[in-house]
Amino acid sequence: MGRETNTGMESDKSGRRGFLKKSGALGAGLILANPFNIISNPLNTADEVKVALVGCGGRGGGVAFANIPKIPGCKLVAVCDIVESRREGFKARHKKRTGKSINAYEDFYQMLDKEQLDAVVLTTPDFWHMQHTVDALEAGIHVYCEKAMSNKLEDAYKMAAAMKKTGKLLQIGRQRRSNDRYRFMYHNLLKKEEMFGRLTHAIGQWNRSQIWTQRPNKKDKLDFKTLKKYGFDTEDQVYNWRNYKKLGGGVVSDLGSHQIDIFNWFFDAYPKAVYATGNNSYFGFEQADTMATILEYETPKGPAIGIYENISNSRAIGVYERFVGDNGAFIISEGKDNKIYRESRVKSSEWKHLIDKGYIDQYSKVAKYKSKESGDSGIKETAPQIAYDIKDIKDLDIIYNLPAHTAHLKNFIEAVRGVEKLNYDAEMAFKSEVCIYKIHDAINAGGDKIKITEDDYKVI
Amino acid sequence: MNSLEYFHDAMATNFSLKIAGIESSVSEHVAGLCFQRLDELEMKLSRFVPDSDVSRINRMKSGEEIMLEEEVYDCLRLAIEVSLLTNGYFDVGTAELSDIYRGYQNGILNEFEYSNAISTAMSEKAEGSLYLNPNVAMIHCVADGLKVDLGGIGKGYALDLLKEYCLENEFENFSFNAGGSTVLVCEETPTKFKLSAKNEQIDIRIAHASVSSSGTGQQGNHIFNPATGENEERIYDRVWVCSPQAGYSDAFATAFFSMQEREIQEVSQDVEEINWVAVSSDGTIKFIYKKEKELI
Repeated sequence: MGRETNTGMESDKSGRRGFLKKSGALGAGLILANPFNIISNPLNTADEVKVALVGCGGRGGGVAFANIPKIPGCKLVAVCDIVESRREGFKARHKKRTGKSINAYEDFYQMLDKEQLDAVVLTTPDFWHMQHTVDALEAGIHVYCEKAMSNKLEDAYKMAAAMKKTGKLLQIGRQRRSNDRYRFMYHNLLKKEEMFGRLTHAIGQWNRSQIWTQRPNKKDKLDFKTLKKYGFDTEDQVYNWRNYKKLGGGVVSDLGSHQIDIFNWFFDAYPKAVYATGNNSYFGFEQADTMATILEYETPKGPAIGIYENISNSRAIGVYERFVGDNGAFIISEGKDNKIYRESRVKSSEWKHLIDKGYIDQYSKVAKYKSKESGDSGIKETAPQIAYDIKDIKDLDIIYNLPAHTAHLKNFIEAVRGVEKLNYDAEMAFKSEVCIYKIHDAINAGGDKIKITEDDYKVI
Repeated sequence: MNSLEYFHDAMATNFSLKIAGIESSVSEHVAGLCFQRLDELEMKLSRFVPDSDVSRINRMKSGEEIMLEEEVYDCLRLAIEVSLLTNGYFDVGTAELSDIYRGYQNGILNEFEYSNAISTAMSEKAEGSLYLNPNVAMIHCVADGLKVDLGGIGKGYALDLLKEYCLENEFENFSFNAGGSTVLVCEETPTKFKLSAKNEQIDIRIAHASVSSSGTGQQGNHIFNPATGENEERIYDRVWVCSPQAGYSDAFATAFFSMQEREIQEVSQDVEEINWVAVSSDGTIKFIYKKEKELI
């Protein structure tokens, strides 16, 4: 089937040749080699999309060095950051990895003037999103902006309105919208197969042991005059901007917005009312570190309730979204917690067609080894409750087969090329931002019910 | 300044980080960043995370190829290297065998089904062929059937990356412990650890090295002989390997658990990254290999 090439290990470590010779029989298995029958050039593409990255922090690193290299034709041409060591560090790292030079800027507008950009990717603190987005869109440049859209609802609105007005693309970085499994769950299992019946409850949580704060990086050598110019009052605000109300949106925006957006997506509805409570008693930052909310929905199939919590002092039971319908329930997450349960009144034969289609599988991946179809392996120990997993992701218009952050950015790049439509444009994202800010209002209102009207969700 | 210890659950175990010589506010910050990095690595390396690269590798069909995250690519390269050095005893292609064993343990498969399943999986595994591109971070599925599990190397590999991070940030005295199965020490003064067998305990000291152990105490019979698919054979109760790198100590400890003493010694003599190897098989501990100039 293939030919082995020099692995590089033999020349590096000549003392090991004897062992390598012994292993010459290895023709199958996992080997280091180029297969002759596969043409490996996935990154060739006709239309190059020139992209600049704004914000050279942690998420920016993911975009520049993990996401963009996997997207055909997506070319990083410039980076922008107000901290010199960060932007120059990115520039050097990019040169080292790709052999190609990029330009580095402190000033966003200078970059827009000098570079011939198709798009910008914004991975800056929330409070900078609106101005950069609106100005880029009005300059004719498409924008991919990390969530949250902003730390102010009125600014999120301005972003969505600018997208509509300019006709340029604005995708918001809630990457689950481009996650193959989430898309498969929505399009195939929920919409096409309606396997869970009427969804009545969504329960979500993002629990973590603590809010890890960052200490100043000695290499950064911050210039306070520059920081002040860009809206930062203290050194701590540069590293921990999420904890400040004037710069970020706190845990509800950072974490909750991902998951409440999934509630909205899978329910095909947006909340009519929210109740919420929260406090900052655990860490004492400006933003709430602990919160819980109840959201009331009127879905196309009937009323539904969303329940969401965020805890920052215990990682107990982690991060997931759980949906309950009258025919079944499921847990979905970007981590390990993923399972589908059939309600006992639904006969197994009613879900058999989903197994036959290869959509779901039973028995923790070992169903194919069972003698009979279900439940009968003889008289022995008590078997566990039957649960199902998503099996083959198929029958979707697009299957990215990429990590979700990369898939979401790829969807944006393909939309810039005119090949795909955005999976999550700013108008959709704005509706979920409305929920988030109404939760903030509810927390501030001390537990009162906050109603949300249809007009609140509109972008004119 | 005293040393401070921090804990974090990841990769189905409890990790700890002990840091000495710096203020608590700084060490807490270091721990936070290390544990965040660990969580990121788990999302990429774990076959139990359906969006991970390893899960995507395990779903590949013949003729498909995927691009890999840098860390997954590096870890797979290391796995191939150790596999070659141990004549295939280190084998990351045992995920299907593990799933079948879990299915049996959980009462989903009976004895008959279990036995047949192992035979079937071994046949499919023998057919499977994955080519890791030597030049770019890509993997090609030439023939499907091989399912990857980095459980025998991933924790060690992760500790090596965390060590790099600490050194880059000029932290010099620290140690990591991955659930007791791998410890990585970077200390000016050697730290004492115990190797325990049924009838004996031995103190060892480590300063700039990693020690990993393999056995059946915590996870049952989870190590499969890649040649037979069996996990019931027992040469040792436990194997310990010391190496400057945790990725090596973790992987070699896994491989050596299924190898005879003579084979282990042959491999160790030829691998500069192995400092020493100890085994327990009759309630006592025996060092079966030590470098001439012992490194601790």
